[in-house]
Amino acid sequence: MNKTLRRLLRDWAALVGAGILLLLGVSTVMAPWILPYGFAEVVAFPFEPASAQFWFGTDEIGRDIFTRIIYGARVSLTVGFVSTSIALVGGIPLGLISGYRGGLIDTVLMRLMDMMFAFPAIILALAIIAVLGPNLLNAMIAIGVMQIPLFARLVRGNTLSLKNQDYVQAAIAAGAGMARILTFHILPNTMSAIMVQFTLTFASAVLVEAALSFLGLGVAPPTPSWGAMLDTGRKLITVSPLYSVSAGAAIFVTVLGLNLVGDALRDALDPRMVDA
Amino acid sequence: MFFRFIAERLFHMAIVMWLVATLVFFIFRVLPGDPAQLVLGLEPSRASLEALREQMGLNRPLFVQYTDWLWRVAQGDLGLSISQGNRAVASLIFPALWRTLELAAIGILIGLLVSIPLGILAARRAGTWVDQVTRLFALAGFSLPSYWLAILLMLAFSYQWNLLPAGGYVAPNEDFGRHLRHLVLPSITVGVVMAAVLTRFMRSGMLEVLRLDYVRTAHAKGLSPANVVYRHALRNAMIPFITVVGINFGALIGGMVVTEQVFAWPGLGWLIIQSITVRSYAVVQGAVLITAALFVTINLIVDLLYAFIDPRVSYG
Repeated sequence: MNKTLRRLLRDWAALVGAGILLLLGVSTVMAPWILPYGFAEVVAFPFEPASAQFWFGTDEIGRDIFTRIIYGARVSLTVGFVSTSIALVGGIPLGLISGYRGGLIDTVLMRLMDMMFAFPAIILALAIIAVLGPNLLNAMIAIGVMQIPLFARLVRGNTLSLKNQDYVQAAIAAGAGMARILTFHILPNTMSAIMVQFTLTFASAVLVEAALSFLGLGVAPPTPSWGAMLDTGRKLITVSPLYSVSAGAAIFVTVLGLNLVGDALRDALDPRMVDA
Repeated sequence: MFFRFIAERLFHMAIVMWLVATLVFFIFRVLPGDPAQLVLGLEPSRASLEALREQMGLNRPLFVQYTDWLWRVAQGDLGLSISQGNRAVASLIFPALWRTLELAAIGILIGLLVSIPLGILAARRAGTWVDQVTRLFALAGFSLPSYWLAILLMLAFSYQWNLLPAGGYVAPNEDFGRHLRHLVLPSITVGVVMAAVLTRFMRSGMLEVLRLDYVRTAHAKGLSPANVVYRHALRNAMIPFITVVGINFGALIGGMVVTEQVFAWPGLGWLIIQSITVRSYAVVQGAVLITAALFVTINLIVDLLYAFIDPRVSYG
């Protein structure tokens, strides 16, 4: 068993985080078989209090809140995964080329990244959604695009330090082209850093999606989304406090799970960490 | 050398600002919908619509509108908000900016007051349960949707115990006491998230420094542990920390869009959302531009500060 895995298995954060994500993943996939109600199904009067039948009560039109929270994970996890993948696919080549070639191309690309960084993330997303219109796909694009600089900068930094390593110089001397060096010699050695960044970015993407839905710029009803539920719950806070509390808790637990795993992964992959 | 460094950074900043302004202009010009029609309501007469389009300059070629806008922005003129009663955009933005900065500053202050001692404690007790509790606090705070925290605070302090207002804003010159009462919950919301993020960085920065030879030497000289940590190590640990505070300032302004919305705190984020709903291009444009300018300026200050406090940074 390798050292990283051994470290992960000894870290409570990794185990708790992985447990949360596993539970969430399984219940989301299995939702239609394990839950008695559908997410758009009206099952009782509005604002039923919490009971054995309706764990978190019912919402403003009588749908089961617990059911909607479980289904809400689908939106959050899909948006998180797809948008982070967009950022990854966009950021890696930019970072590799920028770091490896240096010079003008590096300056131009990094100034562009600076420009994107100059927009607070959610404001850039708001602008993109204002242009494209509010729906799930556009939310994913907006969140993905604004996270590109994170990966571009990370990969660029790693490329800069790796390109002067002896083994890369040897590959150049042996006549390998740029594409070959970047894909086979540099990229594999930045993968661990990318993995950590992916997990942490995934977490923040879930948060941004929820924020956008909260502001009414995410998924359209009746598809359940935690952010939108939190917003509805907020307006009904005096009638049904459990509504917004449970929707927010779902976001919190999911993001915490991702951050726990990301944080543990970072520690486990850090060569300076000494095994106790 | 130092002046050349500053000049170069200023030049880069100007380029970034120009690119940002360009992006802002074109994003808002490709928005569907006719701003003139939105101002006039559902069925304006053709003549009045045409007159307003002419007045707003919407009939001119896009490139002319762009250069004209850029020229006016460079002079500090952000235009008029027609849907908000022909008020100058700047007169809407700057008071809002001030309110956002007030909230952000208090939030950062809370963040620093919590994170510096907590980060130092965690670093000194690295690997123990104290360190693990701090780690959990930091990760939890980092994972907390700020708007949820806001709602929880409101539930407890406003609805349950009736201690503090659930939202809104009172100007300080109107009633300073009430101003402060309205400030408490929003600034705790901002501060908790900030504290969580900064604690992690304070811990790792401190840990890095505590491993260095000069710290061991200081211990060997017989200095008290507190003396070593606070007088010798802390100064060097603060160098990367300042950068992190600067970078997080941008993220903070972004996160405050939602917090301001929840607490009806009329800052820049709140203004942006309000203006998006009434499609007031000029205000959204101006507000986004000012936010970006603020962020770029802060980055520049952080860069300069960094070069200033760390003698190893070259200005090349």
